[in-house]
Amino acid sequence: MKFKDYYKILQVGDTADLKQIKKAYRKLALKYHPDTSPEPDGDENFKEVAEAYEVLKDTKKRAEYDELRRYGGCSTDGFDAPPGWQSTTSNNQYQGNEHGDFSEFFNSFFADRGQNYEGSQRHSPDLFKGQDLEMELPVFLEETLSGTTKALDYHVPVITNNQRQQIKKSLKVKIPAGVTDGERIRLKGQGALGRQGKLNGDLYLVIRLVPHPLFDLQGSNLILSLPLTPWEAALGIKLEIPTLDGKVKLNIPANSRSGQKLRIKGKGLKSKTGQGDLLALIKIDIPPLTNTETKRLWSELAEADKYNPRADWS
Amino acid sequence: MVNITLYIAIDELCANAGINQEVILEVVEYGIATPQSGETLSEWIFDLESAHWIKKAIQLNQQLLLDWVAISLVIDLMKEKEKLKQENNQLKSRLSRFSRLL
Repeated sequence: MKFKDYYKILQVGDTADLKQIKKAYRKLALKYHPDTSPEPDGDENFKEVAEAYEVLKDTKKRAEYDELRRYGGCSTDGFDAPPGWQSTTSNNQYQGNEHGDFSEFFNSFFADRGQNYEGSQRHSPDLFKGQDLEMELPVFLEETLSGTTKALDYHVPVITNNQRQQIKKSLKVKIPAGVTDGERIRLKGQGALGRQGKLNGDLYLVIRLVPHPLFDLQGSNLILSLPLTPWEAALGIKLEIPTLDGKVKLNIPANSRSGQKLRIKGKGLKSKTGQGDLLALIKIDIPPLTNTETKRLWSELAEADKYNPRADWS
Repeated sequence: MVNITLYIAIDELCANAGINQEVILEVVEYGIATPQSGETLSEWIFDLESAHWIKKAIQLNQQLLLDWVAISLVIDLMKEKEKLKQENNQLKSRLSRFSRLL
């Protein structure tokens, strides 16, 4: 196993007092925390910093670490504990998940049962309970109308003999109608495995609505871009337009304008507050001038109609 | 077929996050999350969105050693960021469709 130089990780000297260690941790934690860090390796760096702080903030653990460091901290060919070395802070049978993200070095020497986060007011946490997991689940807009069944394949972390491993899990889940983008669904007991008869963690699915080739979202309303020729917009027309569950007839009134929205009630997404609408957003599409006859007709129209769209400029 | 749930009770949330009910009370008092239903503290039930922010608040408290006022501010900004990101994605998608039609 690889030796971890916690002082180097926290960028402090080995004589640093607790105040200096805490200050260094806060600075680096803010720099690398996954919620605040734009750095690509932020998550990994944060775990390393948190691991170093977990040991160095605790007087007993730090003393044991210093002993280990004196013994083999300079070794580059792998690290083993000194012969007969016995931790007073660690349960050597540790195989658990409380520090599932920490290194093999930490889990071998410092993983204990009584983590005491500052200010967190933890109460006898169930350390054998499996971790909760979270994953994104893509859902098509059509599937939100009446619900759907999805097959999931995912990996669950397991730590045995201080080695982190992944086991594959597959299951089927019914996604209810009306789910929205970013909504969470909980699958009780489908997260990481609990140990010694304790509960498994939960699996949280975060719904991600897949972008649709035709429709955009605005809350629970759908927006459909509706291209019209100038004459269709001017004269009006009856059209069949697509919705998520088939086509509907829509009457485009005469004198329709670009940017105008036509509402088709109840053809949007389902939501907790009801059913959204479909909004057909009119865009006037000018056909290319491909022949002289078309050009002549446009010129005739220009002569016959003296409409000036820039009249309010003067 | 696995059963899904859309809510979580306070005792289960506490057991999952390894905290006591007073921490949840504090998180609610700072406006970070709101219970979906329940008259008394021990009866509180949260939707999963609130449960997510409660866990996030506890993580920030433990990992960044922030106090609850700072956490409340950070969570507000994170919620706003998520909302703006979602709106931005939707508007980008509409804009690209609009540009194709121009």
